[in-house]
Amino acid sequence: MAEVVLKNLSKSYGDTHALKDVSMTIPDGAFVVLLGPTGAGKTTTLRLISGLEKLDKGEIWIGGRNVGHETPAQRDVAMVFQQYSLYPHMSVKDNLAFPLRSPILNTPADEIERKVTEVARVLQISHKLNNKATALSGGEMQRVSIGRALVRDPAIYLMDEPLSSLDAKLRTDLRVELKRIHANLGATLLYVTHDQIEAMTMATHVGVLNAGKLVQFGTPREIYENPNSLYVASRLGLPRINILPADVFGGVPTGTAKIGMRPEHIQQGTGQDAEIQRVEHLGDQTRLHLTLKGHAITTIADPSIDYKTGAHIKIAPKNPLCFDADGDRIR
Amino acid sequence: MAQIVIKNIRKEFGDFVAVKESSFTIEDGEFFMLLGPSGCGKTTTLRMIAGLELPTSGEIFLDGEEISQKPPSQRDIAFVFQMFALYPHLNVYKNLSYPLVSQGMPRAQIRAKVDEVAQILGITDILKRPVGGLSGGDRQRVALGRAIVRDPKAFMMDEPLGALDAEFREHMAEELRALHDRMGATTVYVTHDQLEAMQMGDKIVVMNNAVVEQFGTPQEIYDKPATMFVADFIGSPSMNFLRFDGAVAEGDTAVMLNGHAHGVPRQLQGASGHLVFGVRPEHVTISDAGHYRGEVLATEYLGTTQIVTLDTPNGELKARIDSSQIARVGEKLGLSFNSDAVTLFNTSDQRALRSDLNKEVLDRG
Repeated sequence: MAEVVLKNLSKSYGDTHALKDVSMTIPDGAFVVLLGPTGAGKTTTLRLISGLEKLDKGEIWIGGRNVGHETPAQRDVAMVFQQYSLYPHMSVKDNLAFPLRSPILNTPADEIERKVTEVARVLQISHKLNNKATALSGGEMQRVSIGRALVRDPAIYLMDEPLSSLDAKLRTDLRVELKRIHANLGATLLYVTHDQIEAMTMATHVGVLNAGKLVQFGTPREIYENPNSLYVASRLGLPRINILPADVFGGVPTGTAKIGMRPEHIQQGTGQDAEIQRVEHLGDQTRLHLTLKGHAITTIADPSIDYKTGAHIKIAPKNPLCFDADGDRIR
Repeated sequence: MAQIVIKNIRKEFGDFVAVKESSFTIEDGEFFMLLGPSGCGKTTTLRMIAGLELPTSGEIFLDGEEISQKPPSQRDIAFVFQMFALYPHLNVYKNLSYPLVSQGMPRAQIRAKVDEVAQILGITDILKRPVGGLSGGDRQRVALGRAIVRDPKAFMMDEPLGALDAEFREHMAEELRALHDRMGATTVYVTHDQLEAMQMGDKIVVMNNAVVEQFGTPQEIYDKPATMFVADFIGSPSMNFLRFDGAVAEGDTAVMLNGHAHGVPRQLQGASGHLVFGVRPEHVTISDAGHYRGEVLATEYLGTTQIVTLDTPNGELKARIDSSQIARVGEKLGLSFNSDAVTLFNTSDQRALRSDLNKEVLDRG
């Protein structure tokens, strides 16, 4: 495994600037998640590191080596794509062994056997090794395609939304599994997703991308609790953070244009009068949809209290985040 | 608008039974969810209500009238499909007016109706636009509008948001629900997404393997699951199942798990053998005082809360705790459970044992 350093990466496709001057250090053994909406530049970053795309500007260093002129195979990276593509005519075992048999790696047979067995155990597919790749469920196929990356011992694993085509339940299971794999192997991972839950739960570091720029880089806790802009604050948190004009509650630093209140950072019983529009019972929590001076606000409430639509409650922000007119955080 | 009563409907396709004798009632004005994994029979049920499939046996009452063998055109029900199909060569106005034109409604009346519907949906300013250039949200609104203009007795929706990305789906779900609250139309909605069902539904029917597992309000189904399937399918992460061999007797208020007594709601039914102690992640507390211990396998940060996965003597367990509490991988922690919220299950029939907690829900069937 190795440290990966990105220096001032830029990439355009015609008039579209997919990446603008992105710099980032992926520490050895880190699990870095790139988070952003469609078109933010996440996948482009992965493809540049893997060598599937050519850089316009900037440098990529893997393990102290500038890899700008190396082919994908020479870069020693393993990539997992969103759509698993297995060799349908081969068994699971042969699919897993395939990368090791390539002329570049040319691994001895007993070594292949050992690695395939080990990876199959970690991914809990040992009992399916002799199945044909097509005789698997969707979740198992995606595990095999992750396994095909794991049998190798590359400098870095690059994963492009590997869980997005799976159903919710399997996604939850594989999240924990991936985390365990990362901890056990001490692997360096760069993982792309637009799913904030994946970013929060798995990452050691999160990089938030907006329109080709890296706008914040830090631990999930830093990004959630201490976002540096309105954009970053809105990327994390479910239900979404409430954004309101600063004068609704007042009492904010000068220059504040908007405040952000996470649904769980609203206290009840004091402050401004809000009307309950709708009550959602989600089991472990109750969500209240409120309106206050024409603004929609979502907050979380105790499931044991019976709230009624049309009733009024008083609310006030608890440590709101303050932003200026450009959306930058005021601290 | 209308009440819909489903009585013992059954549907066979050759040898395959898609829906086994199912009964439930959809009250007038309800937003009603048919929830279950793919292949459970939920879409078949919806199609039988709409008249797109005829039941093999059983009855369907729409406002007291038995309609199960009537063609769709005589049922006065509008259907919104998974992939919203619009006429690509017509503009928004013509797409909306089409169902009325084909009914032979006078032009002035059509105009008034389309304008009214466009207003409800907030698409008045795009009436002249071709549907080809519309955003996904607007296309969805037009598709809904085409269902609404007919003033049907009820709406059937088959995963109308399934094709949308997560962020937009959340937005449209809220919009749909708000629209329902304004119009008060009886709506039957099929989804496999438990969160969508909990968020939007007044009532939920949970189906699995062609059978209705449970029917009730979201909170009821979440707090008082009738079967292990429901307990597992609803909630994310789902309910923990701590498996143990033992016995409970009527009147018991505690069970023994690995040599320690744990409180449970007063039991109204005895059982013995392979049993399950079911507890939701948010009803697990981590405390040094707990004698029952588990080793931390993983933690997942979720902002205000975190999910801790632990290895216990009775299997893996997830706890939802405050993210300020520290849990390190490898650490052994004491656990306690909120005894009022525990459900015991018998693995032989996969059903919940009756207790003070769930008696009303289970008695209703």
